Amino acid sequence: MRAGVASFKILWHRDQFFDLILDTHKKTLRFPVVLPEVPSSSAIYREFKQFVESRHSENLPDHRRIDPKKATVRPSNRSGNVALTLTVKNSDYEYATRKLIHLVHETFLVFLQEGHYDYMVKVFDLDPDHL
Amino acid sequence: MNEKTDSKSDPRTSRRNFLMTPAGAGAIAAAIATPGQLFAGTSANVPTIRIPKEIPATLNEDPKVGTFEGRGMTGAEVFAKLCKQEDLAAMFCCPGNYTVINAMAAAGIPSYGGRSEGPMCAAADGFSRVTGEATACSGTEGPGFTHMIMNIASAHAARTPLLVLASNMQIAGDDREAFIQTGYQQPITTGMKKYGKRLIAPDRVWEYGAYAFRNMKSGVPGPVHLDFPGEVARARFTDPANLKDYYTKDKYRTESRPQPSNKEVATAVDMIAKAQRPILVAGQGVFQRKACEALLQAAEKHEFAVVSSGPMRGHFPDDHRLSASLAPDALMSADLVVFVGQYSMPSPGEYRFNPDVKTIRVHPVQEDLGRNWPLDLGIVSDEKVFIESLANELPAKKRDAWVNELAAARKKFEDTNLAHYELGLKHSASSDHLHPAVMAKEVHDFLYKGDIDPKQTVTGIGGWTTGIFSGRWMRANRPGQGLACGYQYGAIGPDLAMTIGAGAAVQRGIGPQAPYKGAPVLCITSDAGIAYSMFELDTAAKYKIPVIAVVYNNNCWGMFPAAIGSARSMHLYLFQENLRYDKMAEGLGARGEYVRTPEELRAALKRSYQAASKETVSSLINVQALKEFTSGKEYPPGIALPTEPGVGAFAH
Repeated sequence: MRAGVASFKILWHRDQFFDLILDTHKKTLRFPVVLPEVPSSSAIYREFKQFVESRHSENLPDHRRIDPKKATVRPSNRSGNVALTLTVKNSDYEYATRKLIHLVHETFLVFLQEGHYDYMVKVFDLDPDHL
Repeated sequence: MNEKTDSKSDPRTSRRNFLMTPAGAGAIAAAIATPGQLFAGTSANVPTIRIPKEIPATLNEDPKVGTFEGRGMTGAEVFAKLCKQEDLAAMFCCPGNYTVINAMAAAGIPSYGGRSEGPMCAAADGFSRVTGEATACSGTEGPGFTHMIMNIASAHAARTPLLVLASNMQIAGDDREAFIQTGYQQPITTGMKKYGKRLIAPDRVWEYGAYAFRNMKSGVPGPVHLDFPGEVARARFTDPANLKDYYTKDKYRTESRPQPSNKEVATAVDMIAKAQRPILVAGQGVFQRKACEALLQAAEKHEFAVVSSGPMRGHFPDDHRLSASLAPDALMSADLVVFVGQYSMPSPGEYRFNPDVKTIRVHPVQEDLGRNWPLDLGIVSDEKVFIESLANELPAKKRDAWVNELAAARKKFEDTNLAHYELGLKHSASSDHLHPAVMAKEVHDFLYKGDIDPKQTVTGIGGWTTGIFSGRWMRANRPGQGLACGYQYGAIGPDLAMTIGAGAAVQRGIGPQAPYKGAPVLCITSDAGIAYSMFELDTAAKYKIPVIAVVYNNNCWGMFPAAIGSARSMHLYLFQENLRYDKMAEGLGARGEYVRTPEELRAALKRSYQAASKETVSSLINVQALKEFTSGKEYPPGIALPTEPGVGAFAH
């Protein structure tokens, strides 16, 4: 860690490298690129924002929910690269890290898998030989 | 896209009118009266499709097992005797390997001869998948054997106890290219069998038969490939003393199974009891080791969730309140997963579990524990023994919150399916073609929501687009009710033959099919897939195995989007449009139906099921669709990949 900032590189979904940046000054955890090639005006981005927002919903059971009192997460889009930034509210970094990791995991296994096949084919070369 | 067909040439009109008229009714009545002459020719000069009298006559002959008396037994007869002793459930073949297949049939092993070796291999696989029994397939030396390769590989991926037999010229002709069809078989099945051997010593034919069944019936099953040179198949034995290791099966293999230690069971029970939301993945080992009843008992006692996986479905009923097979959204909530009998192991990220989930894996073979998926506890045990231990040792427990979450997730899944169906209805109406979500829902309602016992009909699902849409709607409410035809290997095409093989098991009422003996079976496949095994409709007719083949006809290979944006490529993926698979089926002695609306499909299913139930006549329903239905942009929602594990899963 240098000046309160640490970076991690994770080989994860779709054989992609994901950068995870911890900033203890800003109290944030950030994946700068979760979904590439997503225009900010696109339907998929609109739906992704709703998906992320839904993770804070009180309708979700506690073990699936991101408690806004402990952490908040928001997506952003820079030149088509969708980032996720989680702000830690009560210094419980273990909780925050776990929730952010789960969210990215669900992004690939739930959000993309259930409704964005065309995007998976186009951006991640999904086909039966490369599921 | 909105092309309309005028009423004069509309094939739907003519078929509907035909079936509504007294002439149509009379034709069906006539078919009942003369099952060997189902379809009259269209003119006096065209002979009728009929079953030759030799078929029922030879099927009704008494078995004739070889003996050591007189001229003695051939090597093939010795082998057939062993297969009979082992209760080999069925053999599917094409002629070739004559000495062996004749001996097997003569010995009384239920035998089926079909149109090509590949589909016959798939049929043997299908029979095994819905019964758990060992089956055989056979083909002639080079050509017949190599034709089976795709389906041997499928069976290997599905861990099917499949005995692959093939003749293989003579040892005397090795390396001389003597006559025709020479080839080394065993190297070709490397990587797609559990065990294989070219038999070269005639006196060891019984010994290697024992090798075959020891491998198929021990540990994790898998295909065994034996090739028979003429010197072995045609050798003669007048004295059993001339056969090496000529023992009964209790001497050459054992039914002993690995048992977990008390400590291992106690640790597993403790982990499950402490978990908030445990889930057990019931792999195919649960079915093949006949542990379904014990699993139901354990799950209900302790209220853990169960999701079934594997190449067959229904070893935990989809309609059970503790089933997570229809509750994909709940999978991510599980805090402990217990894999039991999961032979094809996924990697993390392939199954929809959260990254923190704790894992127990129970497997009959130690070497596989820890492969692909990191373990918190690995137990070497027979599946049934372990589950019976759980049923005994787990305390009775209520998990209301977990059960409610499962119910909510199930409702969400069903609501999503209905939303897709509603969209599909709109697309169907606007295009005058049937959307796959509508096709799947109509078949679902027909099989599970109407007059038919929802546990009755065995279904086989295959194809890419077809499998993905249908998988969400097909149900398995009892063991052996569902076939995931493309399981793991992802072969396009074995679907119909595999379902016909399953149908043979249903006709005979083998194992879990006993209560539904004689019921029709239903296959949903694609226009791409049907090309591989459509001729086996002839085999189904010949053996009176009633199958309803629903063929989703979207004029292409389902992966055509892979050609979008690639120059000079799309033609590789497309077929002629509006091909008439229903007409081809009629030419093979089955009924043909052509549909483009939900109402037409409903009526066609009803007629087809009736013909199957009452006349043992198969039908092919050609569901005319558009390839563009897979595009989420043009026809939302497009394709939604199935959740693994759960209904529609085909990878693991």
